[in-house]
Amino acid sequence: MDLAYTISHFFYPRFSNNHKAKLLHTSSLFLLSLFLILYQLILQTFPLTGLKILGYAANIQPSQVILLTNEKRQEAGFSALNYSPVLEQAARSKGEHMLNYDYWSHVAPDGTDPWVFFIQAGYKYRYAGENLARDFSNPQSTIDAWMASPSHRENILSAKYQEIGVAVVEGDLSGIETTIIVQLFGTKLTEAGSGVPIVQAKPQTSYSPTPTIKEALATPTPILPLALISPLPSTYEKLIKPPPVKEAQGFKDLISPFDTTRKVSLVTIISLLIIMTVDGAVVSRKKIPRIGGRTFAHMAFLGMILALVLVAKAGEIL
Amino acid sequence: MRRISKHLQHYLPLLGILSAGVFGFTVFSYDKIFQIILAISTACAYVSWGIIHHHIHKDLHLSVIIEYLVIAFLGLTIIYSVLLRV
Repeated sequence: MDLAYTISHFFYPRFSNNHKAKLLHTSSLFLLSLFLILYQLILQTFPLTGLKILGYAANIQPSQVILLTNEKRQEAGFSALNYSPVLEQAARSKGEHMLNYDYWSHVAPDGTDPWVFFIQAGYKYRYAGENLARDFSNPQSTIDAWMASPSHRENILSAKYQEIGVAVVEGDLSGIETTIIVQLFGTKLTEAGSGVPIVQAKPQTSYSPTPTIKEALATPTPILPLALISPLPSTYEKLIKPPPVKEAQGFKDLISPFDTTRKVSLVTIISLLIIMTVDGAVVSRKKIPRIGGRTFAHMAFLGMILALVLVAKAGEIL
Repeated sequence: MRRISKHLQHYLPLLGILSAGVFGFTVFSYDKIFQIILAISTACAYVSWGIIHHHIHKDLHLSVIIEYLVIAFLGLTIIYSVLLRV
C-alpha cells in the first residue's frame, strides 16, 4: 500500500504532490537534467579507466563505398570514377595516421595536410580531394551523409576527378573504438593534361576548410619517368579489384555511446510524455486550478525533442 | 482539448516554431554546429512563447517562467547529449 502511494506520488497528480505528478515538478525536472549530464560525463570519462567496451560497430567495405559513390555520380550524369590502388594506399595511410596520432581532422596536429599522403603513396595529382567519415554503421548511411553536405557532395560529384580510393580503418580514437572511412579523389597529372609535360604536385601551404579539394600548381619541373604512372583500364568494372575486406568482427560486442545515449534519451522523453498526458487529463477532468505552464506546450516541445532524437543518426563527416 | 482549440491562434505559432526546428535539424543534418544553434534558438523561442502566452492570459509568475526554462534546459541537454555522440 505504501509502495503504491509512493509511486502515485511521483506519477499521478494528488494532494500529496500539490496536484501535479512529482516528476513534473521543476525541481525533479532539473534533477533529471543533472542526471543526464552526469551520465554523459561518465560516458566521456569512461575510456580513462582503460576498459575497451565503448565503440561503434560497423561493417563497411571500401568497394561498397566506391560503388555507391559511382552510383551517385552516374545518377547525376557524371562518369564513374576508376578505382586506384595507389589512392587506396594513400587513404589507408591517412586513416592510420589519424589513429596513431589520435586526431580527427583533415590536417594533423603537426600540420601534416592530406596531400602529403598522396605524394607519399606516389600519386602525382592534378586534382585531389578528401572526404572523411567516422562511426557510421554501413556504407549507405555514410554516402547519404556526404551527399547531404554541399561541400562533400561537391567532391563526390566533381567532374574534375577521375579516380577514387577508399580505406576503412578501425582502431582506438580518444579511447573509443572507431571506424574511420577515408575517401580520396584524384586525377593524375598525366591524365588531366595529355600532351602536357608531367609536372610535380606542390601542395598548397594554406589549408582550405573541409572537405578538401586540391589542384596541383602547374610548376614545370623535370619530367618524371612515365613508368611511375600505371595505366588505367577504360572502364570501372574492369578496374574494380575489391580491396581486402576488413570487417569489424572485434567490435560486435562494443557498447555504442550513441545508441546508449539515444535509448536513455528516448526512455526519458517518452516517460515524461506519458506522465504529462496522464497529469493533464486528470487535472483537466477534475478541473483542478493550478499555477503552472501549459501541459500541451510542454508536450509539444518534448515531442519536438523526441523527433530530433529519432532523426539523429550515428556518424560524423568531415 | 477544448481549451487548446479555443486558443488555437496561440498554439499555432508554437507548433510552427517547433516544426521549423525539426525541419531545419533534418535538412542541416551534416552541420552539427548549426544543429546546436538551431536547438538553442528553438528552446529560446519556446520559452518566449510561454512568457508571452501567460502574459496575455495574465497568469505569468516567476514559477511559470522557471518551469519553461527547466523544460527547455532538459530538452537541450538531451539534444546536446545525442549530438555529442553522433
